[in-house]
Amino acid sequence: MKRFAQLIKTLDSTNKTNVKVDALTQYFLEAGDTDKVWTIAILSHRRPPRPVNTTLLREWASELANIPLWLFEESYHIVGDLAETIALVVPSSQSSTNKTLTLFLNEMIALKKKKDTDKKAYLFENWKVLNYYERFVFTKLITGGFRIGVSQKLMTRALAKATEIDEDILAYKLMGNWDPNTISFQQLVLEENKNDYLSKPYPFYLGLCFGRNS
Amino acid sequence: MKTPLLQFTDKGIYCKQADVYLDPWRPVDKAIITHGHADHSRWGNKEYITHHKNIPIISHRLGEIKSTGIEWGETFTINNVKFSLYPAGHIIGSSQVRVEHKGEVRVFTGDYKTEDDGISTPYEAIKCHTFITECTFGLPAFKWLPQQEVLSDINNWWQENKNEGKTSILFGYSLGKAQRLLKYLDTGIGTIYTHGAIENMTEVLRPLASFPPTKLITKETTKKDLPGNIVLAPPSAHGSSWIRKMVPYVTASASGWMTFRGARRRRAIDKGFVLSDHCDWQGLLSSIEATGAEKVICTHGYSDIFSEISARIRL
Ligand SMILES: [Zn+2]
Repeated sequence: MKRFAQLIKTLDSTNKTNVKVDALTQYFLEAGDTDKVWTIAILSHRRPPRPVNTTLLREWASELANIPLWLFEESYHIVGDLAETIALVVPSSQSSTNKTLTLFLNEMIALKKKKDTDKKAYLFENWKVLNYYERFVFTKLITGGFRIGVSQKLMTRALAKATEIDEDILAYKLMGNWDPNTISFQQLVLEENKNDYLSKPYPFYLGLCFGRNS
Repeated sequence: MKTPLLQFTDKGIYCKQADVYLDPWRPVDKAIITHGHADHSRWGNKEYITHHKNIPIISHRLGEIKSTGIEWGETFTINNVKFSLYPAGHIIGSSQVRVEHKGEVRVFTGDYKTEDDGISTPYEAIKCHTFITECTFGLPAFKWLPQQEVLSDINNWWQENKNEGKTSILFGYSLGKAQRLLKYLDTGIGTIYTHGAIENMTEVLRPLASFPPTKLITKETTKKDLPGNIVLAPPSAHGSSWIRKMVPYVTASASGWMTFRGARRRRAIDKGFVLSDHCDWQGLLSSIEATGAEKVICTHGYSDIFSEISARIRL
């Protein structure tokens, strides 16, 4: 998670496409395989369903921040993003997490079925120990929708650079239905699959032929 | 009902008993000025009363004015109303105004911050009955880190840009923020260049505090002089042709508004550092507490919100 939060921070702090691609490429070279699969899933809008509704998130965040709900709402109104508001108002922490992105997402999937008291305890526990950016990313994973100016195309380009697999082939592999919970990085990205080539429409095939050498 | 000791009028905060205005926004006969920023010290008043360190600043901005310089804690009386100035810690020479009449004390903060920035005289909480406080950042979302951390991030950013052969352009208001940045920039990394507005203001402030050397950007400054060095510029220079000549460069802004992720992007700036010369949320709450005031009135920013919360804290 530490590495993923660092990635989001870098993506967030630049408007330049090449800096974003470099940051993503570096991430894909360094992160663990399951974290990479989850990152691809999140950046291609395949996040798990929201485990806690936003009404409860607001109530609990204002409770932890020790401010009345109306003041939380006023802050949200000015900040404009729920996860960012929560990350800003809860007491700051300088510590950091060692849990992986995958572990967090598995916990969030399991959380959906739990009782409200357990959900609240889980959120408090994490909000208290995560530093600002990790807390923001953690909450964002719960509320959904990372809008950080990274298109699927840009992510695919970075993945292509990191794996040296042709961008068009990757784009094709990442299409359709796959479940980040069950698929491995090997299966999703690395494995050569006959179907990748056979079912490819013509322009993709051309891309393959020329892409490797260019 | 008797007239309050300080009232809000269309010319600014007014003390009727002494016929004097605090930071008036229209020309008046007698003005007490908290500090040199343009929204607090306007042109056209017949007489300016302010801290003596603020006199060179407002004289530089407003030209020839009739002014009286006051020391911290020195009392001057106008028609039985006792006035005195106390440090506000916002910029050099910035004051709070304490007003006392028949045992009633009101304090107007002007702009202030609770953190000691090492340049302006640090803020002092003054006991009063009514506290008129600014609350530019009066929301719990605003939390400042110690300046030392932010400033070391800024120096690291400069060093990284230098490693990539780029010019660092750092935006900050020419009075206050620019000098606070300048004071802590690491001259071991390179040369500090300035925009004319910042160079002039810094010249005015050099007798009042020590700052590292700066180099004004002129027509003689060549393209090869800048890479690896840093340029201090006012926010208004962003996007100007003056800046475009400095390619390759990276831009950053240092302000409280940089708290929001969207703020940096909306301003099309590469990097945002959260560094403010105003109080953050905790700073406001703790200073209100320290004054022991029965009544708190807020000016600036999210004042409706802040008035409400401070009223509730009292309960
Ligand atoms: Zn000011």
